[in-house]
Amino acid sequence: MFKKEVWKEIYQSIKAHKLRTFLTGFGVSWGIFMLVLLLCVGKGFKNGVNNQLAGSASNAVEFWGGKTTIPYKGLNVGRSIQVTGDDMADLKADIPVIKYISPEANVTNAGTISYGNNSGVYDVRAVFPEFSQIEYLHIGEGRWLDPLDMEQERKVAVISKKIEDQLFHGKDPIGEYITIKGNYYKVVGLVAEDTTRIFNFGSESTIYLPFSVYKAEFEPDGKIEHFTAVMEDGADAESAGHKIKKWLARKYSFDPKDDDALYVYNRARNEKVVGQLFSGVGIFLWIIGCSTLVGGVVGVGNIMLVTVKERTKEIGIRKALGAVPSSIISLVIQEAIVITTVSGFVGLVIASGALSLIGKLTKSVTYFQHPEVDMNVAISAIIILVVAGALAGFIPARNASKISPIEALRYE
Amino acid sequence: MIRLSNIYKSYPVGKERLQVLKGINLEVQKGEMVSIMGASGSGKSTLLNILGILDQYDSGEYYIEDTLIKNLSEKKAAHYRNRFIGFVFQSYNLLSYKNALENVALPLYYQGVRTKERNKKARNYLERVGISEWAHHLPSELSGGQKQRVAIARALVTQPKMILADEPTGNLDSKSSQDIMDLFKTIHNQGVTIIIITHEKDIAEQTERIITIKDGIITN
Ligand SMILES: Nc1ncnc2c1ncn2[C@@H]1O[C@H](COP(=O)(O)OP(=O)(O)O)[C@@H](O)[C@H]1O
Ligand SMILES: [Mg+2]
Repeated sequence: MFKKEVWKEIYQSIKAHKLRTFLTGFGVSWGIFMLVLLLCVGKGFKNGVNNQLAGSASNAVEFWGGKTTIPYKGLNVGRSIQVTGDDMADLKADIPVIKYISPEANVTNAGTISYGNNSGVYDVRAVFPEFSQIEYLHIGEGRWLDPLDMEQERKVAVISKKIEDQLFHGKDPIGEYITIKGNYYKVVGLVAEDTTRIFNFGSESTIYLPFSVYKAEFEPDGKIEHFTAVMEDGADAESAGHKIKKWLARKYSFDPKDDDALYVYNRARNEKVVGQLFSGVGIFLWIIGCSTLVGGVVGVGNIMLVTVKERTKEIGIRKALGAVPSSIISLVIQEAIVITTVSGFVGLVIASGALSLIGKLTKSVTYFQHPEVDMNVAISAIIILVVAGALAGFIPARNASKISPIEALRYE
Repeated sequence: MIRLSNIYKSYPVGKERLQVLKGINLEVQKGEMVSIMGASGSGKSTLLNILGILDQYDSGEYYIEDTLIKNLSEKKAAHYRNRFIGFVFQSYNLLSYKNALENVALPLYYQGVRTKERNKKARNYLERVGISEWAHHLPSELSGGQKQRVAIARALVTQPKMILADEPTGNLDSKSSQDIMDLFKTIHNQGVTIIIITHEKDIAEQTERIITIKDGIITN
């Protein structure tokens, strides 16, 4: 970029002014380091949280049956409200805004589940095939439950990696039969392990069955404790949730205002709050990062001012020997550019190192994922500091280059 | 070589202007070695700075050979300083972080001379002033006399039309002073025009002509 002698001039000047160079460089490195670190840590948290949220449909409302606490139409309080699997289809038919709906019914007293000589105790959960649109389960091998399984009440099961390890010891489980309460169930699918999520609702030790089989084998009334409805994209989950509750209140005769008769949890609302929190944190980190950068700019500017002042006599000498003003200006600016650029990249490299260390240390922390360096941001920040340094050097250097040599020489 | 007619120069002091040079008329021939004497504050340095194009004058005319040195652009001024003049200061004015060789080579840098050529010339001039073995020493490692030799080599290296020296022996002991004067005489014998400011009579007497300045006027 520069001629060899320019490099030499810069090198000599830097060597002669080690402290000044260090201070400028440190200011820039620190600014870049902090900025990159802040933004990346912010990003890491954001990635982590997004990952959590991405694990399940967000425009969803969950329901649990409870006990009435408000008298209704002459009926007593304390009645249990138990929804059934058949309600699901009716709800979907009556409330079109429901996109997916699925019960989650636990087989109580499922006991030990075995394959050959191996056995273990696991959650056995009956769901609709569309449950995979509510909780995003990754199918590693085989397939997920399908409508035919439901229709034909096939005794099939989808198991998790953990169960595979414990029951099959490395043998391919697909097509094998496990025993649940004395009945054989054919394993058709394997849920891949998903370590990135905290809230996996115990899915790692869960066996999923078609709901129709559950109804036929374990619960003829099809009663359920819990179900989840995902609303159409863009639909208001809150009001859809109210509609569902009203519908159930009419059917099961309880007061729609009775919060304890049917517990309602609006996932969308909570995710919105978390999302807002994190965009707030993001903005806060940006503000701190920018302040750090402004601090760096001011620091570089100050040091350049001092540098030029300190070099006024040298400028006088150089002018007396025949230096033109432009050579004086470029002397100062080139040095500033070299120092800020090099230290900017030093800061970036150190920050990257720190981040990869942080990344390694927090690998298992689910709410902190991929704290990557946004190179565009980092490079822009360096450019800002380099330009600021060059500008801050330019103005005093131009002034100093204009004063007469004898005046500059008189400067001590 | 140079011709000054009716040069006036004043400095602003508060709201007043201090008139320092009050109509200087002077001619110095090519190859001459002259000294300028005068009391402290009489305007010697002011005059030499004008001769060296380090400062501007208010009125009058100053010619180097046939070039009028007046209201020059920064670029032109730099060019003439570099090509016409070698300036030697009382306080040496070497760049502290450059070694002797690099200090001597610096004016050639501003001429755009290539590094190799520059160092060759600089070494040659260090040899001429007799301190080539100190080429790679920083000014802080040199004695006053040695520093002034480096400064003289730096003034000579561009082969200027004249050497201007403002009390070049002012900071030196008498032995070193004489060595420097001997050096100037040698240079002069090689045909270089030299103007030296001094307030020491025995220094001035070693030149061909003494110009006396008093209250901003040349009196002889
Ligand atoms: N930059 C300046 N501003 C104001 N007064 C100055 C300046 N330079 C020199 N002078 C004054 O001008 C006069 C002549 O100075 P100078 O030429 O340095 O004298 P000499 O070199 O003969 O001792 C002195 O009175 C000095 O104080
Ligand atoms: Mg003087």
